Amino acid sequence: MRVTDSMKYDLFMLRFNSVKRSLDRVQEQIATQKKILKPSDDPVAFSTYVETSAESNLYTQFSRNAEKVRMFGNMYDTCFTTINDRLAVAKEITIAYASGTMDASLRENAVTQVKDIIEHLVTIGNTVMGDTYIFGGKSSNTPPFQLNDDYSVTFNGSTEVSEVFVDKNETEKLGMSGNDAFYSGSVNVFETLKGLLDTLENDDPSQVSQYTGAIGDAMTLISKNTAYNGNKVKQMEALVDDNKVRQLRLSKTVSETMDADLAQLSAEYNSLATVYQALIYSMIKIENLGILNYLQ
Amino acid sequence: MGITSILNIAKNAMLAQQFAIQVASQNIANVNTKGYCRQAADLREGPLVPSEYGLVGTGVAVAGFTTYYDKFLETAIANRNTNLEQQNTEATYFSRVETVLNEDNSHLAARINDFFNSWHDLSADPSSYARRSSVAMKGENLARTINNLYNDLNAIQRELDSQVGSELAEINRLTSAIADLNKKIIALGSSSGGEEAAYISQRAQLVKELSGKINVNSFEDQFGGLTVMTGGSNLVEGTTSWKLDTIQDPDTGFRNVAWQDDSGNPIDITDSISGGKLKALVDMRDQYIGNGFVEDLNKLAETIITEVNSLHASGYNENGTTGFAFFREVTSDFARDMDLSQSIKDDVGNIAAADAPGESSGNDVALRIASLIDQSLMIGSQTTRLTTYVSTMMGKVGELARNAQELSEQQQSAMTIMEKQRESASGVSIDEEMSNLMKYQYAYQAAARLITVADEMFQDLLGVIK
Repeated sequence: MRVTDSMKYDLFMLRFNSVKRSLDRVQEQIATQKKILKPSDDPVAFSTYVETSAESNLYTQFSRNAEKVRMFGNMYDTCFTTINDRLAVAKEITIAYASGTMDASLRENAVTQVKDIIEHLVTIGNTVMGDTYIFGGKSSNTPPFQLNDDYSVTFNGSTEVSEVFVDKNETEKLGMSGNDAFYSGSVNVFETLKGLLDTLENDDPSQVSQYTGAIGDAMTLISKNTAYNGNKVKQMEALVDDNKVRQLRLSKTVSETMDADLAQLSAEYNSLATVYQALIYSMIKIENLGILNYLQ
Repeated sequence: MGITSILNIAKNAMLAQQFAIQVASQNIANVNTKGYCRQAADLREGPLVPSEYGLVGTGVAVAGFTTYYDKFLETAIANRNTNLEQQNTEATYFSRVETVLNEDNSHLAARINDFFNSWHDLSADPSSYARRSSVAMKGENLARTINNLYNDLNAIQRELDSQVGSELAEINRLTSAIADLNKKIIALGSSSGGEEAAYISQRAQLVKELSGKINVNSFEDQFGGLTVMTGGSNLVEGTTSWKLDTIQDPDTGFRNVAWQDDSGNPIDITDSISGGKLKALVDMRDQYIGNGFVEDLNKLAETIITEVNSLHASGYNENGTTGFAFFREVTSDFARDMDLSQSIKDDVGNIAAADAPGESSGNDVALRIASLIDQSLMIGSQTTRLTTYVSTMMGKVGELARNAQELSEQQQSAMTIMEKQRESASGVSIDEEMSNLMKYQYAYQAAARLITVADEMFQDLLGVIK
């Protein structure tokens, strides 16, 4: 077979371009630390990477939502603790009044205290977190509790509560409506306190015994709410942890799919660089073998 | 036989070697000329003449020259070039489409996620103005991302369309040049002593170039003229060439390929083009981008617009008003025209998160919209999740780009082998030509020496007479 100059040159250029392409590619892989630079490098892996990244992104959002539920939970916890403390004070007043040891001055003082308690509980009921009245339910941008002149309290919030997604197809209530927090069946925290206030103002000890039990029931309701809320906070903490594990697993999948092995790439780069140099060297050598060099 | 005949032999020999050196020079000069076929001088022994001792030689004569041209190999190379150019063009443009759609550049899946996550954030804080603004901003980002992708793909489509026009002009130039060469070859006939071979090799080079642009069949007629056809339409016959032109596709507005018949009437032959760069350009423009990725993008945009708007219109804004569209209502070119509705642009308070008028901070609609990201939706004819659809699109472009690249490399390898075979037969070797040059130069010197000898013989003879 005749070997012409074009054959030598074309073959050199073909191999030279091929090695140069491989070198450029390895160099880019090292620079980006990714083994897959574009979909055509591995279409299936790239597709998996896009979907896994989206999945991971979704779990980040679920964690953020769960974190929000948890933060609300902590806020409720503080509220319930304060409510419980204030109800305990009301209960002490009830017991003191029922014992008949309260003179007019102490009774006046007790009236003021109960009014304070009602005002305080209304303030707690109207607690705001960000732009949200946390006891407002689905009407959370206006104060849910209104203190009337006679110290009765009106609930203007929504009895329904917004939910958020904390996992796929799983929603969690974002807090608690004031209706659920302060009213349940026959228990009505504000009505009980208003009744106690009226009894004290009217100085009618015969009525006081019913409020001792009613305040106890109110405290039980608040305790139940505290427990429910505590459980929810724990659930959310567990869910955030679960999501972290899931995200780690997804990140690992993405990393295994996309990330480059730098040691392997360095070895490959060195090997290609040697081939590159050898190719140029051999071309120079072959060109020097031409008959022209002997004629000069 | 006399001294004069020695001089004649020497003179003919010098002229013959000089001619051979000229042929070698031509080869050396064309060592890097693509498609050039090497030539070799044909030296024959001069006619024998009778003498008193029998028939004696009269030296050397030039019988012409041989062009090393393999007709069958050249035809095979031209055919291979059709596939090579088609695959190269597809590989180039798939690579560009891939760059546009690559998630690392387009962030399409990320923008979809961001948009629906913003609804999640709004659902967790429905009365927040900041969250509403974020939903509007993420919606606008998503719309712009899809608009940009559409525009980028459309720009490639327009470039492909413009290339169709340029390629047709090139094809017309080539067919006209082939017809000109046909004319010269037919005029020379077969008695030109190899002169027509140079034209044939030039014509073969043009046919190869033409084959790269469009699928052609070619055959030689009895007079040496080459007939070139594409599909069933003549491009060249003898000394006549037919022009290809463009006609506008009534549906897409892009250029279709038309063959002009003898009366100059255009006949649309786009569908009958089966290979070459032109085929790749038309396929990429219409099939892979137009009806492929642009259509995929349209379906994606349509689904997002329809699903979000349907839920959003059923919801209530901050003021308890219902019936607002979130995205602008469009009926076609969804990817191009996707945008926020004017009511959302005017006031983000019009974003409807609640499903009842009294719930100023209700979030049921926000929740429903947020959950779309994780639902199987009807996108075109597929029922799939939005991000799965996008990842499938990425996989599809990757697969097509990879396949085109592999086919291009295969065709290149096959072409390299054939070019090597061609080079082996027709290519120029400088070493070989330099050897020939030395050979002819020595022969020339020897012939010149013969003249000196004959001259000395004459002088000696004249000296005797004196």
